[in-house]
Amino acid sequence: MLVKRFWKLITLTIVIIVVLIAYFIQTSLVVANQFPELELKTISGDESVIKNIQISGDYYDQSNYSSAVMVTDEGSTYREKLSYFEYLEATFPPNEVASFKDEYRNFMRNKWMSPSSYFDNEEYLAYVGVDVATERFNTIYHHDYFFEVDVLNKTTNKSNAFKIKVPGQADYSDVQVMDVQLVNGELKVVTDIGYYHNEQHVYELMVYTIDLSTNKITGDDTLLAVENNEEGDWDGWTDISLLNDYRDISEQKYLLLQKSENKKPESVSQESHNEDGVVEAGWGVTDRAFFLYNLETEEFNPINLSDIHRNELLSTDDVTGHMNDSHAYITYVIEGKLKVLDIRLDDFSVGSDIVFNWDELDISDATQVKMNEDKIYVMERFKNYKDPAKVIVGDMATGDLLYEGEIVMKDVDDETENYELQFYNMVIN
Amino acid sequence: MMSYLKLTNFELSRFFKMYLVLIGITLVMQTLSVVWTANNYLGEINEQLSSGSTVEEAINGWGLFSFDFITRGFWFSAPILLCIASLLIYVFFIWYRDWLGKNTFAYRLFMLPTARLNVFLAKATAIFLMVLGLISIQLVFLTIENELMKMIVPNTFREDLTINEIINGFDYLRVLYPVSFIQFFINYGIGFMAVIVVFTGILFERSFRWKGIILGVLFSGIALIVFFLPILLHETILNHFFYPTELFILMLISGLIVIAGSIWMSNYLLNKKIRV
Repeated sequence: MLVKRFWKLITLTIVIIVVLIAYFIQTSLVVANQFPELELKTISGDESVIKNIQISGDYYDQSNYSSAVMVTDEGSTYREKLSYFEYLEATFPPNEVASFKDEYRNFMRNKWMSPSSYFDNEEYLAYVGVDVATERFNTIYHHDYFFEVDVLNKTTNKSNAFKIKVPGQADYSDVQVMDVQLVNGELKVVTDIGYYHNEQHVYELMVYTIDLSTNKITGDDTLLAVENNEEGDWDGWTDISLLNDYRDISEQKYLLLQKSENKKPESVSQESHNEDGVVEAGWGVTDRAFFLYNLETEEFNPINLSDIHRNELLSTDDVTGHMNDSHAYITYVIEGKLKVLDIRLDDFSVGSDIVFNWDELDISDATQVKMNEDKIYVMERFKNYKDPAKVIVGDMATGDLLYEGEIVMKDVDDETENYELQFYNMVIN
Repeated sequence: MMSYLKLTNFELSRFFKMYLVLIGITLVMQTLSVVWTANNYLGEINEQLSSGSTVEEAINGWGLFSFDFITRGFWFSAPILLCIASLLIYVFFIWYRDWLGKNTFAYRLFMLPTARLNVFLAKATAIFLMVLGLISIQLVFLTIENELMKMIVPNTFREDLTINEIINGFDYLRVLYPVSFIQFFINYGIGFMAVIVVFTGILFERSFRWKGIILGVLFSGIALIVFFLPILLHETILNHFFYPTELFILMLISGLIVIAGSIWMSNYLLNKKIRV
């Protein structure tokens, strides 16, 4: 009787419930199978050294599914497979500062998640971001740059937040924080500054000192500066860069700097266009100079390399730098080998080379090199059909290979030609 | 409870013929659109084949046939838009029809021995069920039409898509059919809230006539501000203070406040101010 009376209401409700349940079950199955499970498979060595690493990258599929992905020794996690709230909240893939969001939730409010803006030790967590106020006068834009500083004292759980104007910035067009360090109660903000001066584009690598008792900028030190002609004179240009791992948020006493001279080759025919239509001129590096800057004493020292190292460094593009307490390292790839130059920080002398033979390990050129304490971590950037991405860990002191592994698909049936994986970062916790 | 269900069933019955017509139009138009688009494609392919091309050349020229060809066409979307428009209009008409004619039906409705709010809730439920009903039936239709397409177009010329891929290929379908259940809940929850607020606006008009229109618009404006208050504060004076999950919870609360406030206001208007 009741059914007969309410049949419209009952039928409609049943149709809705059945169809929508079926739809959501089917969708969740589709999402679950959309992305292949990845794993870090050990070939040889000690698995414990990869217990604390997170490799992040992107997965692309020909049928237009793409997702950020993270691989650890426990398997893979795809951003697209996260639950709604995880997706909403998480910095994914997690970077070096992502976990601070859980540990120091209030401190981390309204802060950029860029690792270069952070400094972390036992007592303090410091943050320096850049805020821009832009004003427009007709067609001219005027930017005012500010440092947004916040330092958390971990023992008292109190933070000191303030904003200060970056000094001397009449015509700055770009201000970027490259690294933040805390030295004897003073913040050292390594800053990359760009501006135009007399039709020259000027780049300066500066260190600003901020006194945390007065919250004022008490010093600035220009480490390196270059002027490049933006138009016309394209014979060559000079590059300056900070080689310290900008993702490293730990305490570092020294900055490792590089200044390189690039010259246009004699014959213009060496210019070629790559797939994106960008001109890839056969620029040649004619000189590379390296410096160490002591943040505490503010001493600036050149590194004297042997002629062999200097020449090798001129014929490679992939130069990276690393730091630990007592050593600075410069790595580069040459003739199928990864070379590590070991520079002592007490007398700036260069020790004997550490070499990892990539040809033997079947590693391609496209890699990322990371260092943590006394270990070197290398991963290949690409994985595609049947070609795994290698991951190796080496000992910096002895040059021994500690671990060799590769990122592969867990289920071999998932291997198709229709995908590509690109890895771009490795977080070592 | 019983009178609420009776009223809901009654509201459904009143629109049911029209509802079936909408479903019928959708099925007919979309089926025709499948047959028409598929045959058109096959016609072009056949023409190219008879002019001496190989199958491969024909596929290169025209592409593999997929359901996307159909969803992109006017005749597929037109009935969906028609259904949406009809229900939008009916959100108003479900109230105004009771005031039409000589013997105001509203008078009888409000004289029923039950809380007047039940009339309000029954109308809201009816609209909500009809929306979800169309959404569900469209999913069934998609499945049927996809099979139909497979029967018409031979394997060689076809790229088979799953229901999810069909929805993915078309933006507004993704709004109607989100991947996650929570997103579904959000989309339709906001829709439900909007219907309740509009209902309250209508009751303002039915209570105070011309003046009521202004009050109704004012009420809707306030509801809108209350709902977006967390985001407004977050973006302005609070300087991005909240984390996304916190903002979500605050918006959930502000949404519930809007719904509760609207129902309370409607209850008051229905009991004290309504004119029949």
